[in-house]
Amino acid sequence: MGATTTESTNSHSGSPPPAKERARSAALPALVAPQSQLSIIWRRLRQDAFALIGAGIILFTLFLAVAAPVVAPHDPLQQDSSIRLAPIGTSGHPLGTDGNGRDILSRLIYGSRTALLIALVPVAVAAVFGIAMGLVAGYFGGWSDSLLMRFSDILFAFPAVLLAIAIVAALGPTLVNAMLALAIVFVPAFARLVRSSVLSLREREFVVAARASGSPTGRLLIRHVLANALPTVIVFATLQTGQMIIFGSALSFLGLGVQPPTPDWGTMSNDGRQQMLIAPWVTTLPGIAIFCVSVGFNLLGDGLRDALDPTLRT
Amino acid sequence: MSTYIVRRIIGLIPVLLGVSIVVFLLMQLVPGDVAQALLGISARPEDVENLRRSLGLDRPIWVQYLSWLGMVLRGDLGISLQQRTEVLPFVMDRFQNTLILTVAATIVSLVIGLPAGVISATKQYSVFDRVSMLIALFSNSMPAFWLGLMAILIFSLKLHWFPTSGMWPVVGERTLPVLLSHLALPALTLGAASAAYTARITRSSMLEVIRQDYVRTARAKGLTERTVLARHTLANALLPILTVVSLQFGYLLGGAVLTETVFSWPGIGLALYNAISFRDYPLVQGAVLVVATSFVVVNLLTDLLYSFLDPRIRYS
Amino acid sequence: MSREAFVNIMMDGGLDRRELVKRLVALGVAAPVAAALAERGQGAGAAPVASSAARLPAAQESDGTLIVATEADIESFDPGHAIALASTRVNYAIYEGLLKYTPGTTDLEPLLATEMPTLENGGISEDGLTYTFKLREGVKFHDGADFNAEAVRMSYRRLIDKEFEHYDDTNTAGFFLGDLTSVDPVDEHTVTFTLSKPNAAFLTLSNVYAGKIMSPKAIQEVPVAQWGEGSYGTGPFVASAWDKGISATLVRNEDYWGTKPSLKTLVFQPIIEPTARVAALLNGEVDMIVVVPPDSIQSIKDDPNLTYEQGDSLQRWFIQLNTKEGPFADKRVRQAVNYAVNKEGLAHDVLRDSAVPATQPMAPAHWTYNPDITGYPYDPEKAKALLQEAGVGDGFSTTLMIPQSGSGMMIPVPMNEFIQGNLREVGVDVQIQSYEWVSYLGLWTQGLNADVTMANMSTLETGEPYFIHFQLSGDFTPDKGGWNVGYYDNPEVTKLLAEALATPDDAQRKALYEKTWELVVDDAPWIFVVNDLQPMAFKNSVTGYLTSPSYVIDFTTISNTPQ
Repeated sequence: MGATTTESTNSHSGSPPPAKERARSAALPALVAPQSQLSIIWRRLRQDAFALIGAGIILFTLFLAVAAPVVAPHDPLQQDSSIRLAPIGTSGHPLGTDGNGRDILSRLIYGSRTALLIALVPVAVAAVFGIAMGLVAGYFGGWSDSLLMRFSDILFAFPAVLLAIAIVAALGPTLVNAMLALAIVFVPAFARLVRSSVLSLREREFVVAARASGSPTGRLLIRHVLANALPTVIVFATLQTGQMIIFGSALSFLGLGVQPPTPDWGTMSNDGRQQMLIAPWVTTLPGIAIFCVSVGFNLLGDGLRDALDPTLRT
Repeated sequence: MSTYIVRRIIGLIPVLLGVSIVVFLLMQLVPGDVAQALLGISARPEDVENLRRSLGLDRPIWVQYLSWLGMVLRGDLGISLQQRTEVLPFVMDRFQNTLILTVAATIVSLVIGLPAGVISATKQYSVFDRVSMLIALFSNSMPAFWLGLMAILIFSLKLHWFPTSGMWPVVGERTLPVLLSHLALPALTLGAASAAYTARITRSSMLEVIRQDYVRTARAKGLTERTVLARHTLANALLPILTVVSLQFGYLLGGAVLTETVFSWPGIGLALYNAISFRDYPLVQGAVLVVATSFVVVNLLTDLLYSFLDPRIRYS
Repeated sequence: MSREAFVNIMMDGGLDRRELVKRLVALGVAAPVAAALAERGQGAGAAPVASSAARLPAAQESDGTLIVATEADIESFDPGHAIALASTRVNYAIYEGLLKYTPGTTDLEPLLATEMPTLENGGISEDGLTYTFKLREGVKFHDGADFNAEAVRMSYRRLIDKEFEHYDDTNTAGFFLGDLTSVDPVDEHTVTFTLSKPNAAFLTLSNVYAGKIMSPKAIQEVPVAQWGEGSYGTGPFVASAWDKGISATLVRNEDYWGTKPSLKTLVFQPIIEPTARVAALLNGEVDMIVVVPPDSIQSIKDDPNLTYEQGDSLQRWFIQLNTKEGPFADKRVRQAVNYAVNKEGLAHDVLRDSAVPATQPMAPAHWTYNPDITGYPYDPEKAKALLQEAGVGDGFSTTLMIPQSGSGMMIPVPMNEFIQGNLREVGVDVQIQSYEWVSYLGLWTQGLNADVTMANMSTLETGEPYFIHFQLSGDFTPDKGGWNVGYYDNPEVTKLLAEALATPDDAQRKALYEKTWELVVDDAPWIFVVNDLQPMAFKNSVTGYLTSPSYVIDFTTISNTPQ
């Protein structure tokens, strides 16, 4: 999970990149014009049942997160020690209750908020910074490129989970710090990805033509270079989100993320270990929730990738 | 070739220096400073100041870094606050245990992932291909800590097939079968997601090679499908697969923190987790440094092996 | 012991508090409190002394091995460095003091001494400053050295005498031995201890933690830093191996001066995760586990091959309130939250009866417990009425800080979430801030403030009330170096506490303490929550286990004979 699941096609220019980059930054296959590409992807995606299922799972989770107060049958913090560890199927508590007599279904619904937050925010932050760095390094080259490469070499030297854990441990265990750590860890992956896309685009005709016609550099970067690199970044970001859900819950599971009693799947799973022997559902259900949402992002991500490069379709 | 190796090794130096800076800076991120952390927040300012001076924390940060780096280069990673033992020997001892787990997980990953990937690629769009890729996606979506808990619940507590935790029984013979029985569940847990990844990469690498001209030529020459597969396709697909295996090493080292915590495997991940709980910063620093360094070295070895296997990129 | 004596211990008597913090941090313990903090430790057994006699193994000789899964690794074999119960539990089998707790009680009886020093037998001087011990003859240390008066002297010098060549400047004994000025041999088998101030708790304090006797040969020949790695005591077991974080192994001392244990090998295996500990027992990998998580108790009881035991302890689990500023400065609000917490529900439902609801600062098993105090039974209506009366009938918001785990803290997260839920019922909105143990101790010693007005803590009291002084006396607020983190300051309580410690007569002292608890309960500076019952489990093949309120396990009476 330290690396992307976007499979590399090894199309790099110039000197051979180190092993990390070969697999971490998926190179961009040959592309046509930027706008039409997105519509092609969309057309292909619509025919991919798995991708649609993935999208459905994600939309459903988003809906739960937004509508939690309406959808959840109970207050996720409401305790009742007389109905502790009620099993699945208890009337009023379809998924049972936890060690403090709180409704597990309601906590799972509310937990979708932190799950999405701890996955989407770091991916978004890492994507924004990574794109900016990758664009600059890839387009201008020179010292900015060397700087990025050395910086990412260094961060890549740490296994991702380990680095995130160490950063949170140093900053202190809070949700914000956990998101920050995850974002830091994944900036270089995005940057490298964008950089290699830019390298392959830089000398393409439509970019060269735009440059020759005197387009301002900023406009050129965004209109022509970024727009063409974007589909790859979206695929990568989608797949990363699936992994980030797991990373984030792992941090919470280790007590380095969301604080009690805020409902969170990783924390719930950890709390449930105490009752694993007599009430295994308390620790099992949050794990299933994490699994489902991660599957959602991975299905969609795979679908997007296939749509982008049909030769690799699974 | 040798120039290439030398160049790559020299190229490692700035990376390792950067790693040491990151590890050093992590300590500086601790709110307040080390003296404050050591003395507790209630300490009188003059006490903190005294301790700062005696620890050398009043020096400019780059001086502190250089003196720390000097210690590290001499193999002195300091004394663990919790274990009250030298960090380096302790970390190396635990690192060995992690390597055992990591190697076992890699074997699991290859034994499952490679054949699955090869078969999927040769029978693209078959039922096997679809099912195995779906399984791969599923196991890639499973949190390792959760998978570990489920494994303990089912295979240790319900079926009593394997011990629940640890590496050795604390009493009794330390034989290979005993080790394997302790190793089985953590290695499977850790290897599961990795196997999924291996299968997917193997499949796509194979597919790419299958479409190459020389494979078509080989087929056209009338070579049997098996020969084509073994001699041309797989052999060439091995390169990206090799990369993946080396990357898996980093993934597995990271994943080991969670797996070792769940299974009480006495490796560097568990040591690190405990050190974090105890605010044992010398041990945290040492463990992270050792893991990162080993990761860098493994990546270097992979690159060298890669260039050795693929002459096209050797001398560029 | 007077107030000055306390301050001496804390500030001057060779034990500056910050120095102690530093040392404890160096030990990985982090704050002075750790010294005092209870471990929610091992075992229990409602079995009183009498019934336990019947369980003593008939055969003293068997080839038994006992594997005990513990809540944490040991810190050191050296009792001069052992603070957490996980360590003292092991040290007790290796090192011996001049006195010990009588098994099953917190009374003292002679061990390496031949009799208890008393005023009557002249062992304690009239002024309460000199204690004289007659020593047992013919005892040898594990390393072959002879046990005698000089050995006692050297063992204490390593802890208290800064001039001593082999003084251990990181030892953790100062907190307990602050009043001790010198230890002097009278003859080969007689030794006197001289104190700077009378201290009714001295005999307890000098023998339950660091004051166990270490071989003079080891002290002179082994470097200080390695004392913790070897076996230099006189006890029934010899430390033979310590694989850090994995196991500590003891073997029977074949030359033991007393009754030799039945167990041949005694192994302590840290399994920090509570459920993993239970799983190891259910799976047959270990023979005995300490600190059973409450929700596993039923599965253990249901297993025909396992025995579950629990019994009284001197532990208290409570929430300190800021009495100086914020909503809890009003006594009625403090009383209201005491009424609002459903202690019975917590003990019964969340803790599965592995704890009892608390009514006062002392646990029921403590000899100074005041049975006339009924405390604050669960009564949310009364709580609301009191809040109304105090002008906060509409409720208020505040913050509670808690550790995520830690020595003696039981299961702090679900317990505090439960309390949070109770307080929500009466309109008090509590935010929980949780920290890992070591960071928590650092914050806790800093004291409460206007925002964070509640703090969770637990303490294992010694046979003589001692730690309670640091938690309730107005002289021990955080700014003065104490652990009265809520700045509770009732001059009468402060005076009574100091008076009690300087009172040698047991009955008079008991009366003083009982009166103190009455005042404290009315003032409600804490939420008095529960007292732990030391949940403990082992295989049926293990016999001879006896619970002690001090959490000490006497491994000499235990045998393990699988059928």
